[in-house]
Amino acid sequence: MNKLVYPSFNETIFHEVLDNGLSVYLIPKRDYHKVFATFTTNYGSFDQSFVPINKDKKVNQPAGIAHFLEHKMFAMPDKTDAFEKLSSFGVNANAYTSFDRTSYLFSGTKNIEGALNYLLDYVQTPYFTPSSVKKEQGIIAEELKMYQDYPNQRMFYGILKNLYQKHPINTEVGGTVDSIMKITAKKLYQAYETFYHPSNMVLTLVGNFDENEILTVIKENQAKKTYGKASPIVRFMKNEPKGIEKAYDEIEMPVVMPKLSIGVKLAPVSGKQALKDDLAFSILMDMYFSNSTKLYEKLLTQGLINDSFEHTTVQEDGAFMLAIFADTKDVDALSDVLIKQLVNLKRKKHDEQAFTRYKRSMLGSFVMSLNSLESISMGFTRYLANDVIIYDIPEIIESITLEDIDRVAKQINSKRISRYVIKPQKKN
Amino acid sequence: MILVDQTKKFKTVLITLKFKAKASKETFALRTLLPSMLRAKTNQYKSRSELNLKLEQLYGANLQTQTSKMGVFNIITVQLKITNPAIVKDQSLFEDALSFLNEVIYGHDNFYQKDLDLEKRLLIEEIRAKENDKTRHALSRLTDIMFENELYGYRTSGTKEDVNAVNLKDFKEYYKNEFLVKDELQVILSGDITNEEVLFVKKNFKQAVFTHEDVLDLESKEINEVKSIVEFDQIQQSKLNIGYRSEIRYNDPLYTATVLFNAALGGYVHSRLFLNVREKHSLCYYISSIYDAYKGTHFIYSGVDKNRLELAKQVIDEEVQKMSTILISEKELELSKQALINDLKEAEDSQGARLNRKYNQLLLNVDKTIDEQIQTILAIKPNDLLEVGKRLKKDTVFVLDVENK
Repeated sequence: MNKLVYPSFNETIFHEVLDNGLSVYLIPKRDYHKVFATFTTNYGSFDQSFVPINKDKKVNQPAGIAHFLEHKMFAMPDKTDAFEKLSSFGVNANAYTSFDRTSYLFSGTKNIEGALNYLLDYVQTPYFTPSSVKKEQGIIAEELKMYQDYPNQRMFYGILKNLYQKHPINTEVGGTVDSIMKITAKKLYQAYETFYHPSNMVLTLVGNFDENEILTVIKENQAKKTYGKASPIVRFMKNEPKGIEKAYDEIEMPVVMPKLSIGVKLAPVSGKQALKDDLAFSILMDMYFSNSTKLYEKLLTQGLINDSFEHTTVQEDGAFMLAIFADTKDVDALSDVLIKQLVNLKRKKHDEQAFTRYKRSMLGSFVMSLNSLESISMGFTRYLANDVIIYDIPEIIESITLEDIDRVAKQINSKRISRYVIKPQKKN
Repeated sequence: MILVDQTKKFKTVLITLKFKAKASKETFALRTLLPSMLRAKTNQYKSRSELNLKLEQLYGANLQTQTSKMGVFNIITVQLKITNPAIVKDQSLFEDALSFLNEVIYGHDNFYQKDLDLEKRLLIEEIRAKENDKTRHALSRLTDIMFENELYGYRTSGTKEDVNAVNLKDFKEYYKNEFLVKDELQVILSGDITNEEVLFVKKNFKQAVFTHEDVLDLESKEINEVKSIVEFDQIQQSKLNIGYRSEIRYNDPLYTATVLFNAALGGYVHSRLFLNVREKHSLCYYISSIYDAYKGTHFIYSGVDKNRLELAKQVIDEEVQKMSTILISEKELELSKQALINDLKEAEDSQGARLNRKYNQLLLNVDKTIDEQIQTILAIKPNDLLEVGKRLKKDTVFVLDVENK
């Protein structure tokens, strides 16, 4: 096992790639009671076009199939339900799908070996039938409708849809009620065989265990299964133009106050640089929009914003945006002020003291997030997509300079700003 | 009283102040506005931005305030989370943070109309915004209707009208003559805390005490017939909510059996509601049950296919009925026991959950170790759950339904 030591955090990470290609990361934390295990495939809602394993022609699959597959992973050939079985070990089981990955996880305080073996087994046992697919369509349709009733979720996807013309980020992770009806057992197998090969997957354990014993369990489990040699997966993503889809859109919903989102489309980069730019943008936004700024206080006093005001960045493969969300009584007045400030950022002379303060605050927040095994595990998987180990984040934050802030601020182009508004529905 | 949870496990130190007073509907709005006013500005930090700037200087310290109802008490929580001073190598951080917290609570020679107006606006907008989350809104409506005229039925933040009615004079008086004088303060320290730090806290918060009073909410009413209310909204999915009373509270011999009853019925993914309503009939995505032991009440909530609402109600009724007539198998009960025990142990890994457990035990005047709690859970028999089932009485069904379906 490779060993990475982080003395300042008093943490150690063990890493090994098994013979079948599965990448295993172990982060022992002996003073905790529980173990948090995550089995992740590098396959998410973005991956709709690809060349199936051992084939030579590209296929296009319906939106939402990765999430659908996640749901169906729990159906077992002996008609049992893996969720139920995993729970019978006395652990908490869960799974989630995002733009670029699907994770199956559990946390527990005992029967860890049994639960871990079962986690590996059920995810490595595909079983899809036409009748079970049909039943799942009903459940997922309700899930999608539930999201449709959440205004914040609608805002998030709404602004992405405004900014992105072709990139699959413009579609919800779960797809649509229509798209999921096109999913078949055959398509699920096709996706499964391609993306659930061990060489496309990562297993992470954080918590109270012995790294050598647990690695033996994993190795023995994997040695029982045979996988063919996998060649790199060929995926297709449509070329995204630099320009935005539209500068404005609005919908009506039963909300009590109008909701505004402003999105800025930025130039995507990849790897560590993408993460650094992402963090630099967060600092930039904090410097001009956080609750210790003059602007914030002014907007608050003017009655234009409330505690719902927030800003965020979204950085994914081939997509990068920053966004501001706010409930406001006056969408136009608030938009004007915010867009003006955004566009002017590239001309600002940034205050060094403020910069240092926000950097320090970001560092503090990061350290705080290391309290929970969940956030270590989630953060670990997320940063790994950028080829960064979670405990290297402080170093990256430290490396950000005022020049970086200046550089990213210049990326904000007034032609690539869009607004998405939710207006209160008129009562019938 | 100062409670200390000394542990090196976490990378943060939590300093939590709990201000406890008897809950009354007349003061809900006042007590929700109070912590917001405290953290808006102080004698030393003259504006919101100055105060937030100080938090940033304290290595991005996190200041949270909350007003909540626990049984018959109204509790204002003010919590400051800082990084462990040893990690950021700044030994003055703890004392700095504590003086800051002291200033937030006591550094108010005066309050101003424009600040109160602003906080009132923010609170009203927050109260209104809660209606945007239809799942939560529907559950709140069930509570409104089921507990009409009971203390439990009043929203902790007060209504829009209550908030509007708060004036500056009353606010100042309440702060000075009620909050500072009559609220009981408990301080809870959690993290890598030294003895010197505990002494420093004692010096800073001399008035911290605790007197035990009964916390359980005993108010109730007779159920003559099940209330059934439907409201409509422009949504895509029907939100079905059902409320029950069992009158089984913390001090009841059946308390632990009731927690297990809830777990087996709808607390987990192995529970009957999830397996039947969702997996078997594919009627919903989420369905859950919750139990409030301060009041002896139970709620089932779900978002169901608008065209199959009646079937969902029927299946839920059947499942609840079965729990009160047919003995649960040892094997099924064991699943819920293990899930509960696991949750108890996992909670030990969360600084916030440990703190809540400590504070709850203090309020309830119990002092049980995790192991003792586990022994109590393991001793429960299938028949105990049947007894719980028999005490469960359906009170109200509330549906937030799809308009023009």
